[in-house]
Amino acid sequence: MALIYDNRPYKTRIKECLADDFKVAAIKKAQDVFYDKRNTVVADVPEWLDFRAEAAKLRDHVLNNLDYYVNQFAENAEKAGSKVHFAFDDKEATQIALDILREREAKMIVKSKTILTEEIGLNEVLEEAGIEVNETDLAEFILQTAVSPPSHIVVPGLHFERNKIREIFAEKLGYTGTENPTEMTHFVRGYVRERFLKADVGVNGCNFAVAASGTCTIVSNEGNGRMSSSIPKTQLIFLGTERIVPDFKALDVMMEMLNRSAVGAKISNYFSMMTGPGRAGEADGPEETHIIIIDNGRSGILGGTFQEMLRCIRCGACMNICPVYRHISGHGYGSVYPGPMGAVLTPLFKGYEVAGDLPYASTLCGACTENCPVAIPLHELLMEHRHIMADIEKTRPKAEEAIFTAAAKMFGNSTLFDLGTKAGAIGMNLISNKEGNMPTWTQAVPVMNGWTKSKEMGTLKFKKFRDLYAEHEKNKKKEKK
Amino acid sequence: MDEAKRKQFIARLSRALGRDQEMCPAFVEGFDYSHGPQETMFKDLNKDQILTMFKEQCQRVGTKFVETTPDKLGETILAAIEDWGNGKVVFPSVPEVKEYKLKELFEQDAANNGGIRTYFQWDPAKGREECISNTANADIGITFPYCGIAETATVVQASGEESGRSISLLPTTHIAVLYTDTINPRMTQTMEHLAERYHNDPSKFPTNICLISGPSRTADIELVTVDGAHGPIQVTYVLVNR
Repeated sequence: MALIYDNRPYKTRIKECLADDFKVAAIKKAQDVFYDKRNTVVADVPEWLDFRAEAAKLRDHVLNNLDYYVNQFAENAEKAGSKVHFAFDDKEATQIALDILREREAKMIVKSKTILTEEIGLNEVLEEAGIEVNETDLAEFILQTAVSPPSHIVVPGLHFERNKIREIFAEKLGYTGTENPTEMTHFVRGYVRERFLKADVGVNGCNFAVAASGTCTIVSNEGNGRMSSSIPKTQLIFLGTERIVPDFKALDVMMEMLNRSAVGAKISNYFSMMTGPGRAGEADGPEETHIIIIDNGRSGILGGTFQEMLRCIRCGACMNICPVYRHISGHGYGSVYPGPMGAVLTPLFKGYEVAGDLPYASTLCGACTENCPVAIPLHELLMEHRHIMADIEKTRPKAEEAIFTAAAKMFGNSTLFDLGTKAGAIGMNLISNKEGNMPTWTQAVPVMNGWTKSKEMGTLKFKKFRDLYAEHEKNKKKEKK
Repeated sequence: MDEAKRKQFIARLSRALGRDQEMCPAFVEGFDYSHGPQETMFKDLNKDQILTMFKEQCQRVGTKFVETTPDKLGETILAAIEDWGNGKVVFPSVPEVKEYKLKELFEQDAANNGGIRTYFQWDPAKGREECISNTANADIGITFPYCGIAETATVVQASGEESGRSISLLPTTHIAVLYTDTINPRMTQTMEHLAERYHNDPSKFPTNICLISGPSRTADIELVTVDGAHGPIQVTYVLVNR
């Protein structure tokens, strides 16, 4: 999958998402479940806000010294016996991986979940080269079997209901069981287990890389990360440059935040810490470990206005609370990074021309910022994107600029404001229905329907708050006299 | 590592950070953790309270545990195996197996149980393929994690020559034997300990350490929790009070 997997216009994407009742309901349910669970485990930690401040500080410390820590990590990883590769972009990264696989004549690989490999489009490159790629995370497995993009970063297969999954398994894998989730999960367990035992190479992502020891870590509940790092002889780890932490103690702080924020659990069922390949004498574990450190646009964010975005630990808490994500789901964003974090990150990686609509997929309510475990000011960064597009790069339509210039004049001048709102009240009341709302035919009028299509829109009143307030003050003075 | 590439890669980061002459610093003052809340949390708990916290968290997340003493360890393990329906059992070559004469106990049991429980020991001398495929066919794997974490009911499993990664991963059931006096209140102490262990001798630092908190689990289909995605479907912690 490429970073942007759906190039159709933003409006086309969201209309399609809004029309999918199951998807909308599934996302709502997931948000509600995660919201409750997260709040329960966070309420158990009275020190939460102190942790959050500490985590943000720690991430900043790493980012402000990222050159030093990446260097230190690479040195220590090599000391531990791993081979470290550097890739400036997606093409270099996939080429390095392909070279390693070809050299070993690898025919089949098993992958645990990594969004970074989606970002760089690894699967397509490998499949084109004739290598069988097996996604092993249950949700990723479902998506790969169904050929469908992810709708969430933590639980990417939310948009499929169990009956649909049963159908897909039956059609593509010859599954004959029921739609019971346990039965289907155990079917996949058996199916994937065979491949784990046969695969030439295991591919892992990395949640946090420890600079002090060259250790890579994987957070997982299913154990597929453990499988792909224990059974195949060759291991490939894809590591985003910003994923570094200084030392082991940092893992304690980051794990405190990640698991609670992601799924509302105190900890994941597994947290694997891998330091080099297995040593001589060990009968399992990889015989060789390759770590590919990938920049792919990250150094362009470092040291700039958007550096705080690199604090992100990919927990999904911002999308679990976002009112826009709630309705348009991950597919509305068309990027492997959805939700508020994706709306900030995708334009940084791909530019405004292709992803300039995403910063507008927000109400700027700030819930994402509040929910973020590393205190990324997400809604402010979304504003910053809009500011750059409108005022600096001038990528917005000319008409929009004209409208906002006129609006600024009106809102900045009390006489014009009074006149405008009075004229508006007269106009709206002329066409209003008997309930005092805008009539249904306005839903067919361009521009106007943006306000009237999805809600009952009341009319501007002749008597405004300012009039009421002036009256109130007058009465108060009278009473005093 | 391609040295030229490394230099280019790091230089790009140094440039972005606006370093003096685009040079990566040779030293950076470490992060100061002393003000973090983790440093003082649960500091005043005694061993009993820590154990209680561990057990309560087990109950909260539905992880099975049994308590025992060193003199009854063997029979407790046998009972745990029986509890999960018997079968083929794999156990490691760690010192605890000798200390408690578990191998002898298992051999004796195998001779008398009519074949419902069979045992084999993890032996790296048998080679990679045999170790992995035997363990993949086992029903139960026994390991001896080197410490526990109370807050999250976690066992910290280091793997290596004597105890392969596969033992706590491939069989459908995992039995983890843990000394209760090794249980730390938080991950904080575990990470401090690992840092020290690495510092003392990086060449002996375990290549794989897994923090295990219950069975393998997923909720990827309609958020319904299912145990046994890829790893063990069932777990028992055997808590040893010495």
